[in-house]
Amino acid sequence: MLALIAGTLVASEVGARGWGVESRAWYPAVVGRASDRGPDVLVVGTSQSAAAIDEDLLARHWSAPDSAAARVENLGQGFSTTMAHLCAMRWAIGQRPDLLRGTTVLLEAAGGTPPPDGADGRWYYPGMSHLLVPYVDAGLLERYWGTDHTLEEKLELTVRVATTDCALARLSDRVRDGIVTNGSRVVEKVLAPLAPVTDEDAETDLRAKGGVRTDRAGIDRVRAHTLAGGTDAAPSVRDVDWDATLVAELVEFVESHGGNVVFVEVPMSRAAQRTSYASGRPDPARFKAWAERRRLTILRTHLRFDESDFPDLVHLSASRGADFTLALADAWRER
Amino acid sequence: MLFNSWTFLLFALVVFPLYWSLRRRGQNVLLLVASYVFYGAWDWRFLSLFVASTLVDYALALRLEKTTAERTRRLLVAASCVANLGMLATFKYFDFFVGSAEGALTALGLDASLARLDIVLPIGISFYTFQTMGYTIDVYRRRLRPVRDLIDYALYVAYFPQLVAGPIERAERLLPQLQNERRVTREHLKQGGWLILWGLFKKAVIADGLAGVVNEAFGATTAPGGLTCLLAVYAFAYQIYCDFSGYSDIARGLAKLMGIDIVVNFDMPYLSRSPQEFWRRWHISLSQWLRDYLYIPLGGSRGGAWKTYRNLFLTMALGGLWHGAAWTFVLWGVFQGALLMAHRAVSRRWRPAPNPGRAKRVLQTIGMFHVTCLGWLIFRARDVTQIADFLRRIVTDLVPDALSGPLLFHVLFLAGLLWAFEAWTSGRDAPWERRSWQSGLGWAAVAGLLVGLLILSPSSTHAFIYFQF
Repeated sequence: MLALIAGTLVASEVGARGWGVESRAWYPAVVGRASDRGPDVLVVGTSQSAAAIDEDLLARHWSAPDSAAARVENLGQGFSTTMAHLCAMRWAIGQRPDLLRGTTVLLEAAGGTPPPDGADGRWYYPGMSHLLVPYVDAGLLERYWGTDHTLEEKLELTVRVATTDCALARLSDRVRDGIVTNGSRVVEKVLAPLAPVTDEDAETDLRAKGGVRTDRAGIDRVRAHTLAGGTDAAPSVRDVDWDATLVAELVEFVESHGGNVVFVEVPMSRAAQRTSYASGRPDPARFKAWAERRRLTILRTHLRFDESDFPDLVHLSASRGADFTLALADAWRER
Repeated sequence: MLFNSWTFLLFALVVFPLYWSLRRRGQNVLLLVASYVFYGAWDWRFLSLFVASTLVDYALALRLEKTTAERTRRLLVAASCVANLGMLATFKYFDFFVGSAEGALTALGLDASLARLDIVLPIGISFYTFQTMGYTIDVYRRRLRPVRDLIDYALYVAYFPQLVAGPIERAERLLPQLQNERRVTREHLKQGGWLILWGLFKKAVIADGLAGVVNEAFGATTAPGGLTCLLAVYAFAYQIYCDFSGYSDIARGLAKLMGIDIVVNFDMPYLSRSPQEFWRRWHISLSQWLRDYLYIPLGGSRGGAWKTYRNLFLTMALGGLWHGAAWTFVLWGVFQGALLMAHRAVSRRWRPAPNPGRAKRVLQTIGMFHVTCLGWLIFRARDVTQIADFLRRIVTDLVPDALSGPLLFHVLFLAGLLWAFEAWTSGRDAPWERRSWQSGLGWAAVAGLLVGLLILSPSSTHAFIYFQF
C-alpha cells in the first residue's frame, strides 16, 4: 500500500511537470515586461480595480496630452489580499530592485477606504493560495507563525510553501477549477434553453480582467451571492488603527523603494457595500486623517454611479469603467 | 481537530508510532491522553464536563454491581440518566427551550425576556452521553460487568476515532477490545488504509465539493429557482451521506490501524426500498441505540398496534431532537416517525411481495430516495418558511437559474464518482477480495482515489456536519 502511494505520487509529480504548469501571470508578468524600466503606474487591488480601471485608456490620459503614453500595469485581481500584494511586491523587488523607482502605485480604496486588515487578518482566500504562496519566503512564514492564525492555518500555509516547487500541488488548483468551471459551463449550456428570458440578459458589459466572470451564469452567481450576503441594517463604524494595518506596511515598502502611493476611491454598488460592511465599516474620516498625516493623496472622481452601472453588482461595467478611468486621469492631472 | 486537517496528520504521526511500540497498558494510557488532547484541541474548558460524565458513570456502574436492592439499582440508573440527560438539556437544549418559550409568550401578547445561558455546544456531547448512559443501563440490566480499571473505562468513553461523531459504540463490543492485548495484522493495516482513503475521499472530495453549492442555495435570502431547489436537496443528500459516512469510515480505519474493530455505521442507505430498511442502513449505531434503550423500554411492538405506532413516533421524534436544538430537527424526527408508522400500516394491510421484479425494486428505491430527500429538506432548511418556499418552487417553478448548472454538474460528477465506487466495492471493508479487483484494476482505482484526493479536494474544508450534534 505504501509503495503504491509513493509510486502514485512520484508518477503524478512527473506527469504534472510534463504538463508545464509554470505561470507567468500577475507580478511575474510585470517583472518580465519591465526590461529597461519599471511601470509608471501600478494599479494594486482586487477585481473591482481590474474592472473599473482600463489600463490602456489610463496610459493614454495619465500624462499631459503632449507627453508620451505612460506605462500602466493593472494588477487588480479577484480574491487577492493586501498581504498577497505585499508579498508579491517584495518578491518582484527581489527580482528587479528598481522596479518601483518613480512608480505611482494606485492603491484601491473601494468605497473610500482600503482593507483595514493587519497581519492577523486574512492572508489568502480558500482556493486562491497561488496568489500568495509562490511569494512567501522563510521570513514571512516565521511571521505568519507569530500571528493569531490557528495552528491548522499555520500548518497549511507551511505545507503549501514547502511544496511550492511541487508541480502536482501547483496543478491541483488549476485542474480542479478547470473541471468544475468547464463542467459547470457545459451543463449551463444544456440548461440554457430551459431558462426563462429576463431583461438582465443584455447586461454583460464587463471587462474580463482580474478573474471577473463575464458569462451570464457567472454574473448571475455573483449577483445572487452579493444580494445574499448583505444586510439592510446601517453598518456600524469601526475604528481602525491604520498605522497597524498591512496597507501602512505596503505604503512604507513602496516608498522605501522609490515609489509613491496614491489611494483611488474605486466605486462600489450599494449592494456590495451592504455585503462588505456587514461586520462594520472603517471610519472614512479617520482614514482620511491618517492619509493626510502621511501626506498621501486620495484620488476621487465626481462621477455618480447607480446599481445599473454594476452588471454583477460588484464590478463596474466596461463603459462606465472607461468614464471612471478618464475621470481618474483628470483628477490626477488636476490634483 | 478534523480528520482531514494538517493538525490531525501531525497528531497521528506522533500517536501511531508510539502506539505500535507499546504494550496494552501503555497503549491505553497513550490513547487516553491522546484522546483528551484531541478533544481539548477544540476547547479544553469542556474537558471537565467530559471527565465528569466519565466519572459519574464509572462510579454508578461499580455501585450498581454491589447493590442488590432493586429500588436502589433503579435509583442509580436513574441518576445516570438524569446526570447525562441533564448535561444535554443544559448545554444543548436550554437556550432552545427558553427561546421557544419566549416565542410562544410573545405570540400570546406577553412581553417575555427570559435568561439564556449563551454557551457554545460542547462538541460530540450527544454521542458520548449516549455511550456512557448505554454502558450504565447495560450494567443495570446485568448484560455487562462494570469495568474496574478507570483508564480502560475512560478510554472507552474518550476513544478519539469515534469520540465526536460516533459510531456510538456499545460497551460490550469496544471494552473487551480495550481490555485485551491487541494484535495489528497486515489485514488490519490494509483495511485501515483503505477505509481512511475512501473516507477521506468521500469527505474531502465529495462532501466538501458539494458543500459550497449547497450552502449557496440554502443561504440565499429568497428561495432560488425550482430546479436549483430540487438539485440543492439532491446535493445535500449526497453531502450529508458522504460527510457522515466518510467520518465513520475514517474512524473505523484509524481504529483498525490500532487492531480495534468499530461497528459499521452505514450500509449504502440510498439503496433502501422502505423507511424501515433505510434506518437499518443509515446511522446504524444510533438506530440500534434508540431501539434498545428507548423503543423497547417504551414497550416496542408488544402492546398492540396503536402503542407500537406511539412508540415508533416518540422514538423518532426524540431521535430528531437528538440531532439538534431546533424545531426543524424535531419536525424531521416527526416526519421519520410518521413514515415508519405509515409503512408499518401499509405493510400490514397489503403484504409486499417477497421477491418483487427488478423494475419494481428500482422504482421503490427511487421513490424511497425521494422520500428521504424530502426529509433532508426539512433537516437542512433554516426554518419552516424555507421548507415551504423550496417545496413551492419545486412544484410551481421548475426552471433553471444561475446556480442550476453548477449544482447539476456537482451532483452528476461527485455523486457519479460515489456510485461508481460503491457499486464496484459493494461498500466492503476489503474490496480486494472481489474478483474484478484482482485483475489489477483495483489498485489502479486506489491510485486514482489518491490522485483525486490530492487534486479534487476543495481548498476550503468544512467541519463534519455531525460535529454539531
